[in-house]
Amino acid sequence: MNLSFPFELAWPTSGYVALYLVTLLMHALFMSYVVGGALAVAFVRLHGVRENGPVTRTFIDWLPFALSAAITAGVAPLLFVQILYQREFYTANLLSFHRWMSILPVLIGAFYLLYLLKARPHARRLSAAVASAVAFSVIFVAWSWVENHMLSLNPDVWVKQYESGAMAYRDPAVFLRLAFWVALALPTACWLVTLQMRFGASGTEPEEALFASRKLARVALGFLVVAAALAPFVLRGTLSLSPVDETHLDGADLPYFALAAVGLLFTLGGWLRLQHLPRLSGLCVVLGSLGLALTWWGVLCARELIRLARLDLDTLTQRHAELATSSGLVVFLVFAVLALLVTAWIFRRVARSLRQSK
Amino acid sequence: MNDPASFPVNDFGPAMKGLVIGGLGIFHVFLAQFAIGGGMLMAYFQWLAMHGREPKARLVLDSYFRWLVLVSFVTGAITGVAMWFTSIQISPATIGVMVSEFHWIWATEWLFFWVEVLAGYAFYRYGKRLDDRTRLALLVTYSIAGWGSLFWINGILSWQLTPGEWVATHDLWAGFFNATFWPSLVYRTIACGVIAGLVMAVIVNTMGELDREDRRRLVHHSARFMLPVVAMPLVGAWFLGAFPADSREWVMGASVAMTLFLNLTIGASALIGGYVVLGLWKQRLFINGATATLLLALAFGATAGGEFVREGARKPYTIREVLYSNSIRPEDVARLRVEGCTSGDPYPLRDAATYPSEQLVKGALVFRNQCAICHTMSGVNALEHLMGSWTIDQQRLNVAKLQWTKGFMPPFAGTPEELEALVQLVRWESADRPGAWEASTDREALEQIRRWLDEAGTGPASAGGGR
Repeated sequence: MNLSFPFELAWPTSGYVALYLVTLLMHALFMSYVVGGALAVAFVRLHGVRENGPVTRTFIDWLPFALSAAITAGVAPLLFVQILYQREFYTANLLSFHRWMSILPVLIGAFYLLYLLKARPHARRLSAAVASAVAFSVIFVAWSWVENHMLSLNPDVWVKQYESGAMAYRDPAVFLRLAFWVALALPTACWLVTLQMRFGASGTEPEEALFASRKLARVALGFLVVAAALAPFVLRGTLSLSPVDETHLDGADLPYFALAAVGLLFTLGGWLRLQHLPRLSGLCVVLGSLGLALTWWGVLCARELIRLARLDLDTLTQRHAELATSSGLVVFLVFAVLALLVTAWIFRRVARSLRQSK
Repeated sequence: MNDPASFPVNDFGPAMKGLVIGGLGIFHVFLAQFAIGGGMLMAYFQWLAMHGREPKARLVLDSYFRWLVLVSFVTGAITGVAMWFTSIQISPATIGVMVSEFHWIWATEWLFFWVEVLAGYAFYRYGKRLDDRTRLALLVTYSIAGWGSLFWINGILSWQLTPGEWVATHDLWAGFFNATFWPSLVYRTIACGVIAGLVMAVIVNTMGELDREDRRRLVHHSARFMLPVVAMPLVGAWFLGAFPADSREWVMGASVAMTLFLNLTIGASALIGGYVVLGLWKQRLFINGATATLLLALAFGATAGGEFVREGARKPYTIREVLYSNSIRPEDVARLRVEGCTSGDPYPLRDAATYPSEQLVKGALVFRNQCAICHTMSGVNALEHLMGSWTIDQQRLNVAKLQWTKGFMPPFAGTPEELEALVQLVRWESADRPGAWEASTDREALEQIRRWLDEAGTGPASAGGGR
């Protein structure tokens, strides 16, 4: 089973793809939290639940930060996608025009609504409306990204799409893929909020965290099954791979679906172990988190392999080799190490100061 | 590199594309400079609080930081992403070259942005529960990271105007530390401080828990922070002196609009600087919310004027000597004069049926590929208004010798037939788009256009070859 992607690609394409995938994974985790959190709060509110339970409370408290982190983390993959697939990405942007650009005011609106939600967490009708609007907004943004990806990989339709002046790319596969990503985002958000609650975020007591996480487990497991069922069909089947594409792909995505499945089993293990423990053990955290990371890594690698199979890899690698003649990599690496150190230092320093203040 | 013609071109209606990206850019720059200066000012106020020099510093600091997060972290961050998206919409070729050349610089800038957001949020969320030293450490980290992101992006933006030796060597650092890098960085750093100080003057006036004396004292501290504004005239002159000679000519009188905007910037900056130094610092005046807001609005005007001048001074390029403002490379002009600028465009016109002749369809394609990035047909900066009153020979001559007609225009990059098609399109539009329009097939006119194009040459006006 070959799991060496993207390092089997020629340098520097392999480097660019690796950085794209790592930063996309970071973005995906935060974005999953936002999608799952917004949907969860909207669901709870629309069902008329009066009190804020620990899950709702934690989501409301942390969603503004999560959206900010998702956007900040999203800047890096946005940069690398421009390096890797400039022509495809730019063309898809241009073809969707106002529809694509509208994700920006929608995101700004969602951001302020999240702060409003946080400022008025107990206003039931207001928070129901606000949470629904936020959930709608983030789904709209997710839909736009899925559509952009699909459009970028179908150059045959570009001229027709432009000529029609249509701002939406009408392909039923877009909705299938959107359903898959949302199905994967929900259990991810469930796991992340469970970790937060177990570490006492937003004033959660250990007993209510345990009770809430057992309820979350059922939701998470249900959506994990849906995501697992959709994954191979959606990622592979919705792009109409030609025989040539299939030859290029040569089944290279299959080990990554297997890796995602292994990750899924780990995550299941984490959830199940959580059910039978009075508190969150280290093993439980490792199992669930590692499983989630493996699942996302597997899915993202498979998606990228399928994308590369549809494009002219020789042209791409030649272009990337030209780009790599531009210097600056060493500076980036030095500052990447520094940024990691500063990030760790901030966590440590703040945690120490908070401990002392207690 | 991508061929510009391979990208679809969108029509922004009566709005000039430059207005769209310019408006967004000014808004984003103002917010970003507020975020950077705000961090530094907060670090200064934290220091004042720690040394017992200002009893209300901590109270104001926490309130100010909430505004910083709500305005700058949210809208500032997303307008930053919006700048990328809008650049793709306006000129994919330009942003493509910038990303291709400077992707590691951009990636480094992202690392600074990451640290800035992390330190900022840590302070926002936990600041009130942290000890003073940790608070100061977070604010200093935030400030360094914020200023660092300015450092990196400033190199890329100033490179567009003065790429210098990079054009010949493609040495990234020669391009990054270009002639306008340092003056631009110092200028922007001072602007960051001034904007942050003026925002402070507005915010202290919104806080009911402060009395008039508190406000006067706090504004005085901010004024001290804004004092580097006295260096603005010198830094501005340094910046202007580093401009390429022809760009300097545009802003010093050759282009009325750019000169007006430069004067707007100088005037607004002088008013702000004078008020800060003489009123707020020297005489320790009290400033109410309305006056503070007015000064902040002036600062926005100064930012807008400065950004307009910086963007406008690059003409006829988006990246000097590399890419004309219509995304055509200087070295491609000669080829396009033979092959045509419409032959490689795979995207048909959406409204081709509304044109009564093939020649007008071709004219519309020429307009889309060469003019639409800065002009509309009948909206803002419209060809109809700029050329409609000329005689047909004037139209042909002035477009054929475009770079000599107006020095900040790029040379026409198409065949005589395409130029004639564009002229016919403008005449047809000026005549209110009649249902029938006879195609112009005057061979003599085409020969004359060819001669004029040859006389004009394929270089820009600054090359000086065609006079």
